Amino acid sequence: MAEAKAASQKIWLVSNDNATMEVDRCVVERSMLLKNMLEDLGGADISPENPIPIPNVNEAVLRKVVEWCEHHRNDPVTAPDDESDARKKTTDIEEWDQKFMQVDQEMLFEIILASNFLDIKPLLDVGCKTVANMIKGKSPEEIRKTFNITNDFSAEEEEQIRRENEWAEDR
Amino acid sequence: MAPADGRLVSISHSPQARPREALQTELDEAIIRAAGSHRRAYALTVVHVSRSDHSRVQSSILTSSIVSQTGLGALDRLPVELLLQALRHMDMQTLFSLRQVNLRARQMVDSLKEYRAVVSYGLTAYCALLRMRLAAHVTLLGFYRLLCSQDCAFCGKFGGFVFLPLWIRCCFECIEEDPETRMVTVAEVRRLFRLSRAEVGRQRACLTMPGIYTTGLYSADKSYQRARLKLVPYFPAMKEFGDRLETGVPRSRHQPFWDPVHNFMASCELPYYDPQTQTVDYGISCVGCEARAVEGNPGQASRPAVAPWDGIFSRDNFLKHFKGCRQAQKLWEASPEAALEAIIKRDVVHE
Repeated sequence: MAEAKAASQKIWLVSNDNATMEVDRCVVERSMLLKNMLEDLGGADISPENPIPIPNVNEAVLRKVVEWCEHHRNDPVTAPDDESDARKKTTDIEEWDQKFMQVDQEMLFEIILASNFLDIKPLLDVGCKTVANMIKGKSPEEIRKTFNITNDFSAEEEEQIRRENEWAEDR
Repeated sequence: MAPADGRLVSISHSPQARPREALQTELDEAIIRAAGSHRRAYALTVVHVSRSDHSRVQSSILTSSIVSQTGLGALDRLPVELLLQALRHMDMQTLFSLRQVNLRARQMVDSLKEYRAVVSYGLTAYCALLRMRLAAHVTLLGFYRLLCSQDCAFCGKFGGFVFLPLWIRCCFECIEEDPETRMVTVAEVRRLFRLSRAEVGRQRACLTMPGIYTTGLYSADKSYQRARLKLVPYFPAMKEFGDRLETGVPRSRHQPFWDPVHNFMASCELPYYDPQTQTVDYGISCVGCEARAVEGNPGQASRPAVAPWDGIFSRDNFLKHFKGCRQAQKLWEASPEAALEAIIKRDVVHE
């Protein structure tokens, strides 16, 4: 009973641009940072007038992060260091998450930074995999274009690259 | 007692005395030189790349002193640890391209300990993956983990090779003998399972490299393979599409045509890297046992009593084997370095 009550308990968060939002406690607890904080504080004195401040995260990004947490509210909590299986394949992203990540590059990076700060590991993983997929299979020139990267190789280094390509090709 | 700043004080050996382990290592190395052999010949009958080929990338495939003023564009917004973590999960083909983006990208890849180990000790396997169009299937972490393993996935003995299409470690014998390493041509799997173009596309196809390969475990013959063949592993296709084999047709029609040389054309030497000691082990065979096998079977053409690849040990297991192998000990006793043993024993007693 006590557990059910805790799950439906409401928590209020405020973004760095002063937007307050109401979220179920169990959704908020997808963030390890906030979960630990609520366990320490009890969460009883969190109210619309006294929300938890989330610095560095603006309203648009916080809404996206909360949307992700809502969708994944019933996911089993994975072990924090379970690298081997969960992240084995870079390309494996479930369909809902793929759609969720169809945002512009700016928003994608903001989501990654926010999930890193809030310690939401599965979301961080999805974000990093999305970035990895943006690089995957691309030529050097395509990677430069995608992320606006300057080529600073000297003529001598370009010559080395030509030799690397020869080595990786077959004669 | 430890000083206040927490530094460890080295426990005093006299300056001349060498630690016991160092002496033991030296002795072990001398024994391996006298009675062991790397059997490089085997590595030259599977996929191999010449030293002169590797020399073309020697100075650039791993760098340590790049100073870059340029950043990584938009990627600079992400914390470096996150980027490095993403790189570990990146496939080897993409990492190859990424290193050619700019100096900062190159420096980042080269800073990863996994990448450093892979190109230092697995360069031939890396080159083979790239040339055979398999590099997109192997992540840096996957490569590193296989490099740090030593057992054949099939028989559990020391496996000094990698079966490239499935990226599993195996020994020389299992390359031919295990059904999972069987390779067939793309045309053959298409015919057998009546695969659509898309289904063929999902198979782990590779393009073989021209070169000299062995024609089979018990054959002394080698053949020069000039053509580049498109091969796929038979086993995964069988698992996925085996139910399409018609019942009631002669069994012979279900037997794929396969040539053992194809298995060797999809395998490559890969030493075992021990991250603790940062040393590599290619596997060692016992020269003593080989001499005995030749003496015991003069002129025998078929399967020898002791197949040479049976006796390929990891370094540690070779040293254990040595203790019980009279032939190997004879070789050691006759070697010029045998005198070392007496010196080491004396030093150890003095300790």
